[in-house]
Amino acid sequence: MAALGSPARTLRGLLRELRYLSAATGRPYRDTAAYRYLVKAFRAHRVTSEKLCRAQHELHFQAATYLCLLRSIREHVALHQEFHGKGYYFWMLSPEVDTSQPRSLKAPRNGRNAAPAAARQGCSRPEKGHENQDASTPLGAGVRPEHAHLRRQGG
Amino acid sequence: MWRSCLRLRDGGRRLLNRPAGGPCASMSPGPTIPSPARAYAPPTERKRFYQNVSITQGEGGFEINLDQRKLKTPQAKLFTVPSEALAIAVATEWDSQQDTIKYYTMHLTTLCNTSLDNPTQRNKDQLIRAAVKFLDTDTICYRVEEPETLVELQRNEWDPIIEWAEKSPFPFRYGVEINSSTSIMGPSIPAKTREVLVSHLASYNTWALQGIEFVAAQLKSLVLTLGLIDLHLTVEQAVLLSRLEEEYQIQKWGNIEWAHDYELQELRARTAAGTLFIHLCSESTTVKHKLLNE
Repeated sequence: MAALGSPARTLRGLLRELRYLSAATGRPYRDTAAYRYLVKAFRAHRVTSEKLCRAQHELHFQAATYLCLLRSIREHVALHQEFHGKGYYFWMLSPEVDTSQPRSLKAPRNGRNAAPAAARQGCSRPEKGHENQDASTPLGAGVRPEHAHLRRQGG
Repeated sequence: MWRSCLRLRDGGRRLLNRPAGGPCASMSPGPTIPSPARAYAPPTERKRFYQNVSITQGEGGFEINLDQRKLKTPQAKLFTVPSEALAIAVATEWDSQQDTIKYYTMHLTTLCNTSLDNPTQRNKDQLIRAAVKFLDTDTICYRVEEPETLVELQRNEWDPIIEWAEKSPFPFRYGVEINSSTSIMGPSIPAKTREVLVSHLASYNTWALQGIEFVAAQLKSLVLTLGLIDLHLTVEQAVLLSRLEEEYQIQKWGNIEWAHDYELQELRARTAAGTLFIHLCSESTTVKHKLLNE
């Protein structure tokens, strides 16, 4: 079964997302049909005595999926507004972008989105034999550390 | 992009100088002198024209009301969904639009419209065949031969999924084979596997099948889709597994927010919408009644 974390955490996340959405319309989030439905559904399932009840797991999975949907839409729209909304050329004119250097398609050398230090050391592509240096990260030459928690915990 | 800027510069003056009785006056009931930016918004951008969104239950299912008007599909059919939870989620999508309606964020609405209108006119068999076709080019069956670390990563992350698909009682009641391959021709799927899968998918209704085909198209993998249906993988996990090589390259060479994260969030949104759609369309109402009476 998928590792979902605690239902309380999922519910908290969902309520937070609903609050963000309600901030747009100006109406309190407790008035929305979504809030009422979620609270009712979570409350109903808490009464079940069986911990491994499939219906409970199903509800939690659906809630986690809905949370993922709301969260990723919000992030997607935010990225769209920031980078794609006004057009690439307007972004280039914004103060964060250094236009004194010629534009290149390489990944940024400094800051949050920089390549890991190991890759930055040389300008040449690492040889096949040098790839072992990536084994120092927890997942080997795997995925970004912030995504490490998504690796499945067994079957 | 530059061409449209030039059009703005010329056309803006012409539009503002047009007499009140001209064609632009009938365009919208908004302010009489629209600002240049709004006047040249592409035709797909509509302002939010409703205050309240609510749900009512009709004969065919649940309907969405925008103020007093009932929501319709693009082919002007009445928008009805079989599940209350789905109706609430669609209503929330419409209610969360501010200023302009961003249709590209309304994935559940789009899926419902596709199921109601069936614009490509596909019946159940065609949907099943389209979904099973993804197995021939399933992402997790395609392996690279180098670099060694990526090979290992694919083995560690994708092999357990194949093992689960082959051995778990769902969806294959009998042991079946799914081979992985490094050749460009892809894996060879035994006919028996295909048969078992086709008969399993036949147990889903047309709406759920639209969702299944949609998710498989997004993730480029039918096995990952089955993992989502069976609650074996979360959406975030499935998306990560689908984008395994991309994540590997990001880890190595760095992340470019406006490209990588943008695609990641969009894929997550679509996959989450599709997965939720499948689950909400395959629920039976008897389960619901039992829960409500507790």
